[in-house]
Order: sequence, then structure tokens, then C-alpha cells
Amino acid sequence: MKHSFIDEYSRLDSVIHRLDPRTKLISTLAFVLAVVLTAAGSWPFFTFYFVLIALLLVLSRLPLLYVLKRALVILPFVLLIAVFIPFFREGEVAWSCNIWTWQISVTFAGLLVLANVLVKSWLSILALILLSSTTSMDDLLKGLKQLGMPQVMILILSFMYRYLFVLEDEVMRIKQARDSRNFGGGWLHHMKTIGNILGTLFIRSYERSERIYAAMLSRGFSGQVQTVHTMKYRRYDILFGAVFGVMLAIPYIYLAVVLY
Amino acid sequence: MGKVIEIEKLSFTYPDGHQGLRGVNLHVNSGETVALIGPNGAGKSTLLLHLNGILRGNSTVKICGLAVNEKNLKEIRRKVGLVFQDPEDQLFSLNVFDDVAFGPVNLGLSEMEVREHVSQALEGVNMAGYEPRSPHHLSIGEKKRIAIATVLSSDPKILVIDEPTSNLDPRSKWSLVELLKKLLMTKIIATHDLELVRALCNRTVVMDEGKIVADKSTKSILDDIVLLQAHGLAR
Repeated sequence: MKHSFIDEYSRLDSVIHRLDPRTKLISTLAFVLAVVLTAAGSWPFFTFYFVLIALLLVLSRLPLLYVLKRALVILPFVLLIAVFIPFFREGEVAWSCNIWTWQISVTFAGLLVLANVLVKSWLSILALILLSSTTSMDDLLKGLKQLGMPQVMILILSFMYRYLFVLEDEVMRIKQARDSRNFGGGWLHHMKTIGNILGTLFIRSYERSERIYAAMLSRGFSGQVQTVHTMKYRRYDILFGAVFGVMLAIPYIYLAVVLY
Repeated sequence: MGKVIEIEKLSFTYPDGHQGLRGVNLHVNSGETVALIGPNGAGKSTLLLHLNGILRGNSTVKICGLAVNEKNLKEIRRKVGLVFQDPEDQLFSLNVFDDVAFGPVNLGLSEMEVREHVSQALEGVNMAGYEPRSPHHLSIGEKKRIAIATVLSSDPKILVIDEPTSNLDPRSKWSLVELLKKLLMTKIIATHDLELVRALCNRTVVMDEGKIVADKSTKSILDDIVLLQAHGLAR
């Protein structure tokens, strides 16, 4: 069955795909930090960061439409959190109206904060899409492990990613079986069916986990997961890291020079 | 030819009170290919899980002369390669290499040895070059082969397979049979697939209700239609 894998395009080949996962992880984190720490309303700097990430996206040869669609995913979350800010900020009023005895007004300062949050999160999500679409999940997890993330977190993420799609297939099959026998019935009846499906899924997953554990034990698992190391930094990674680091720092260097 | 599996009067009761095995006696010689057949719920899988100590019943199972107990567990799991029925359970890593390497890495082999074992095991099941692929992108036939490779990589003396041909189309099934024929170690195959049994095994053990009800040459068992009917294996 067809799934939308988070690392759908990670098997393509480009200069970005060939980077060591650790280089990409650190660069992404640095990019997000640099963007988040930029002062609100510094539009030239945001433009600069946008050009930087757009350049990398072009280099990665990811389909443009795919990236833009994925980037939309973040909007509901940001809006949910930030949409009320313009109403609560003090300052010059941009727009106001009366509902009954209640005055609602939107301020320019508030709108600026909202725009700021939107731009920052959009740039950050672009960087994350670049990372997750050019690195396969297992490379990403190996990179995280070598960067010192605790083993147990790596294992949880790895098993989650491995069995997410197995579970999704199972849900799809159960739903198909339900729909084949569904001849109407009220809303309450459907809720009951959904409850049963959830229960069934839980039990099946639990039983599957027991079988997986038995399969691990059968191959000599003793509680410690060891892996064979395959990653090596190359000159190319160091070069990329250095250039990218300097690029990220340019707005800050510029600010420092202007201020003093 | 030495005995590689010795089981005497083995009984096992599940925690919920269901009796999985009742007084099973089984001896298997080195190099034999033994089919384990029987209706659903006969105790085939339960018996297989005793061969490497995942389950332990009332009496001792001996593998290559070693009793299955806490002390010998590591050695026994190296000798017995157990392939589970559902490859989704057997393949739990994010890529094929890590899955096939799981056994050798747990044995503490060096990186170079691990790589060698992995590529040999994959070649053994005609799946060379699949190392970087993700298990969830493979077809069921490919998954079954990789699942076998995951135990071959530890060089088992005894290969134990639960339902190797379930869910396979005839073409994948027969190519799997050919593949199993080429593997020369002792093999125990639990299955419902009598075509597979006829093609592959010289000895057949019939189980029903947790007991072994027949243990003879494959030919004499498959020709005994009354026996097969009595245990739900023929109509």
C-alpha cells in the first residue's frame, strides 16, 4: 500500500544527499537557531536566510511543489498558537470593531509579532524538510546516535518508524473489513465500532511486540543494541560545514559591524 | 551422524492454562530435513520456540548435546536459527543490512567479519545488493528470503522455519523451495504445505493437540490418507 514516507526522496542523489547525516543535523540546528535569534522585523536578514535555504533546496533537487506542500503542514500549528497575539498587544490600532459592548482591536505591533512567528517557523520547517527529505531515517538515527542521543530514544524512534506503516496497513484492512459489512446505523453505533477497532489494534500491537522481542532474542539479543559504524566525515563535509556556518553568521557579523 | 536435537517427554502449559505440548519425544539427526505438520493449534510453533529456549517446558531439551538452560542460551541461539512466520516480526530494523547483521553483531564479531557474513547470507538467498533497502518497501517473497538471511548470517547448525511458504504465490514458493534445498544444515520446517513437504523433507512428524501422533518417512505419511484425514490435513 502507498504511504507518504517522511524520507520519500532520501534515495535521490545530490550534493546535499551525499553529506554526512551529522553535518546535516548540526547545520539544520544552527540554521534554526540563527533564524530564531534574529530580531523581529529584520526583513533583510530573513530574506537572506530564505535565499540561503532556497539555494540548498535547489541543490538538493527535491521537487519544489513537494517541499511547498510539506511546508504548509506547519501553518495550522503556528496559527493556533499565534493567531490571537495581534488582539492582545498594546500599541497603535490597525483595525477595530465592536461586537455588542465588546471592542476588539488589532495592533500593528501585534501583527508584526504574528508575521515574525510565521516567517521564522516557515524558514525553520523548510530547513527540517531539507534535512528529512535528503537523509534516510536510518542514517538520521545513526547520526543522532553518534552525536550522543541516548540509545533508548533511538530505539523508540526506530521501532516507531519501522512499525508505523505496518500499523497503518492494519488499520486500513480493518476499516475495509468494517466498511464491507457496514449497512448504516447511527452515530453512536459507529463510535462503538471505532472503540472496538482501537482495542483490537492495541492488542495486536502488543502481541506483535512480543513476537518481535522473541525474534530479537533468537538472534542473540542481550539487551544492548550494537551497530556497525559506517559513517565517516570527509573533507567535503568540513568544507560544507565551514561555508554554511560563515553564511549563517553573516547577518550577525553585519550587525556587529554596524553597531560598533 | 550425531543427534542434534533430543527432546524427551516435553510438556508445556501456557500461563492462561492452555496446554501447548503434552509429552513430546523427538530426536533429530544431523543433516536431516524434518517436516513438522499438523492442524492449526497443534503445537508446532510452541515446539519450535522450545528449540532455542524462548519457551522452556518441564523437561530438558538438548541441542547438539547441550541442555537448553540459562548458561548455554547464547551458544544454543547461535546453533539454532529460528525464522518466524511473519517477516514483519523478523525484520525490525530500518534497513536490510542492520537486520541481517543483527545476529553476527550480537555474537561480537568484528566489523569486517560482520560485513562478510551479511553479504554471504544475502547471496545465499539470492538477495545480494539489498543491504540499503528498507524492509517495508520489499515484496512478501523478498521479505521471506531476507528473513532467512537474518539467521543464516550467524552460521546456524540447525535451521528452524515456521511456515516458510505462507502467503507466497506458487512461483515465489517454488523458488524458495529450491533455495532451501541448497542449504545443507539440519532443517526443521513447520508447515501446512504438503507440496513443500514432499519436495523437501525426507522425514515427517505429525502433531495434533500438543502430541506427536506420527513420525515416519515423508512418503509413508503422505500416502497414509487415513492418518492425514484424522488430523485435518486432507479432506
